[in-house]
Amino acid sequence: MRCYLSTSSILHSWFVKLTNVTQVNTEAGIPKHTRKRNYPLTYEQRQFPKLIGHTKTWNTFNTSNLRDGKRKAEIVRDDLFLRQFIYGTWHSLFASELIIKRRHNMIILSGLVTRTIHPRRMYFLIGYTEEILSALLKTPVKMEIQTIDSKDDVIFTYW
Amino acid sequence: MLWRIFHRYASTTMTNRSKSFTYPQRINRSPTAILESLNTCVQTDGGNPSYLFMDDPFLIPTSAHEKRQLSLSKASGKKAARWIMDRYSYAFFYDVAVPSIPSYFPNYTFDEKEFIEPDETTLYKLMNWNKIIKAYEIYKKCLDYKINISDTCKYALFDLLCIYNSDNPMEILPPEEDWYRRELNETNQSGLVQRTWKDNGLAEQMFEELKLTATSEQKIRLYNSFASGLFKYNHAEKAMIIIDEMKQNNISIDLITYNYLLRSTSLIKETYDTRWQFMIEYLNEMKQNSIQPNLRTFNSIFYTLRRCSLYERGPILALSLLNEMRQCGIEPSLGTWAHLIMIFYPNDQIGYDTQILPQIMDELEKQYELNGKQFQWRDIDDREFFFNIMFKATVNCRDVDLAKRIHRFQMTGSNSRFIPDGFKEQMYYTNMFRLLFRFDIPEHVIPLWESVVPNIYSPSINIIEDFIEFISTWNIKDYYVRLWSDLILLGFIDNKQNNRRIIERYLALLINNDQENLSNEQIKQYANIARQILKRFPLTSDEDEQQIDDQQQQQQQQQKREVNEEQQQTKQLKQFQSKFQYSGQLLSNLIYLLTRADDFDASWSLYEYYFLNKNILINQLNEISLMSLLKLSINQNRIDYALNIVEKINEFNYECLSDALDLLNRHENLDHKDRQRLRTIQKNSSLESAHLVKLV
Repeated sequence: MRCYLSTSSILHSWFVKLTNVTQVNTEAGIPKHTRKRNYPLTYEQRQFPKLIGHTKTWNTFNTSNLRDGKRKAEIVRDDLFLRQFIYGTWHSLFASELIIKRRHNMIILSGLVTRTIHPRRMYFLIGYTEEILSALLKTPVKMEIQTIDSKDDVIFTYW
Repeated sequence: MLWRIFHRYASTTMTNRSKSFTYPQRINRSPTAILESLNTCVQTDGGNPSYLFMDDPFLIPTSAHEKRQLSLSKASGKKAARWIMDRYSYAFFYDVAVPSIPSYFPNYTFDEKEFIEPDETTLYKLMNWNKIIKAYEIYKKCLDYKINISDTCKYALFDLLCIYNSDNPMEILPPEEDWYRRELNETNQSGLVQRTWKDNGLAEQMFEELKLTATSEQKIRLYNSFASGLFKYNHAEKAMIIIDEMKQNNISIDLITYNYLLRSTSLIKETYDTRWQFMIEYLNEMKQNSIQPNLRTFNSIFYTLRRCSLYERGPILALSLLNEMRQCGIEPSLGTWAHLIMIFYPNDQIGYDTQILPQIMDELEKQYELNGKQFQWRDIDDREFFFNIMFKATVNCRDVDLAKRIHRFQMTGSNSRFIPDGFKEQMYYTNMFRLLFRFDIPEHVIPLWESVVPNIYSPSINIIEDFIEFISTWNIKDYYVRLWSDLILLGFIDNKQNNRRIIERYLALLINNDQENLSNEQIKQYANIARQILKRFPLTSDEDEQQIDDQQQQQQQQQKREVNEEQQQTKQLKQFQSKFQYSGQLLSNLIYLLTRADDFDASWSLYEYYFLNKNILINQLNEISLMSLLKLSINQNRIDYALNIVEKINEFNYECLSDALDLLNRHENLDHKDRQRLRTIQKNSSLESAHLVKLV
């Protein structure tokens, strides 16, 4: 269920106040209630982005944003690449967002994976992603995944 | 308060302290010192799967087959990644690591066009890339074009040719494949010594060539390399000819050649005494030329002694050799002990009386402590140590305590890396458990079993059978149900030929050893097991099978229009494999288990299945199951069924017919027709005991 909302540059100006619903009453990451209340949300999606820092944490853990932290931009760039790579390589297997932890120079990827494929294929994918990501990012990359039965198991509420 | 201050002041002035203070020296530690020290705190742990596997129940393998599958599929994924890196190597050169990590870069691809020019630098490059045959071709071209190549380059090329037997060196397998290398290397599984040297190969040609132009120093190097190469690839006669040439021309033999020579003595001389004489001669020569022996020398001598099996002087000589070693200040490595064990116990029968094994274990534990609790790989023969010692401790000595001691030693620290491949590990544990099952008590064996199975060792079918026997002899009733889930975990409950034995054996265990004292809980659990078996291997009757056949034919006709024949064959194979062969014995065991839990419907359906498919099934339903089914049907007041069963008992002519008739007879709710039927059965039966029963 995707709706493409239009944004306007005069959304928050002092001389013109817009009142149309699709441009004024929207917030990023917060879905509106559906009529039938059957839009599934995971627990993470139910914690809206405004709660980050309060009851929700980030999906990547690194020290680049501490005082004297190095390589902020490179880490963000690597994160975006990693998320897209995993999304494309593990075909609709990840049921949760990818959690990226950085420890010394290692990158540890975690997430919930559905059991739709045989363990043999899963180990093939694990070996492949670890090897190729290590070669691309020049740091040891490890995967620590957990399997769940199906994507219905992560549904928290219906919105 | 004042007293305390005075006391403290007094104590500090009373002690004799040196006036000067020396700072302790900084200990230079390697970059991975912390990791190494953490490593020494960690032992091999049987509670978790190997680090290769993901920590999730779906992804943890338990049977040996699964472990192999999953580790090799992970290695295959890595190979796929490597292939992509080599193919699209331009994408992998962006480097952020300081210092840069070479294994994260694509392998330098060998580009033919670069190496056309016959030049010395080309030769060096090719040798570095392990392309030795190509290097030799370029070398020949250099000679044709009369380009000068330095002597160091020529001799380096010659050395490489000797080391690798005029061929390119084998690629190093990834560690997961290396673990299974015995199954992959199918040509030489028994490890026989075979002559593999290539006669008139590139090495020999180069040897002849270089012989003509060599100075005396170069000749030493030339002849030594050539002799070592010949010995390494087991061409002993030619090697001895070369050695004689060397002696005639006064070329000194160096340590490496001597080591190889000693190792190949068993190929040169036949009888044991001549071999020993030969070795003594050469050792004296070494002494004259003041060449110090090293660990490899001694291990080679031990190796030769080991190949003199059943030599009376063998053990004595070996012990004196050990003394020599200690005098030379060389510590014996694990490989030395491995050879020593095989010298003392040349085959399966001899050597019960010597106490050498415990002494070796004492020595080793001492050495282990001295070396700071770690052992190093010092010699290629070290890999045989654990396998040999466990083999001999269990087969020859039959000493349970010794076996446990060895096992404990193997589990401490990182000693388990001295078992180099999967086959040796299987045999190590097989031997150990065979001994323990025969001679030890459950209180000791079962904790050991649980510490090792299934994460470190997945037993093979023989050991599982021994285990079931062990449990049945010791009557460990609480373990039966647990054993069933263990069998499923270890992959023994499936449709393969061998594993059906296990199911039958297990069911026999359940039935024979129970009798009266079973709790309700256990009866229910056994019945559940029976239902699980039925679920895994569903009963198919004749009609269903015919339907499947018809479907198969229809599918085949459809698929003839499709392209892929291979898919057809695999589908047919799958359909053939899925039929589990039930036998009468198996069915009767299942009926018995189910009836004890008062499950009439399931057992009756099995009973009917038997009679529908009587012509296909081997064995008949046995007495115990029929009697228990009869009792159950009487208890549930199903008289028709009961009479049916009695008639069938009559057909089989079982002795228990009299008991059956008696049981029915005592039951009150029989009406006239049923009693009539009983009487006809009694009349028709051919057993005498049946006629003795008094029917109302």
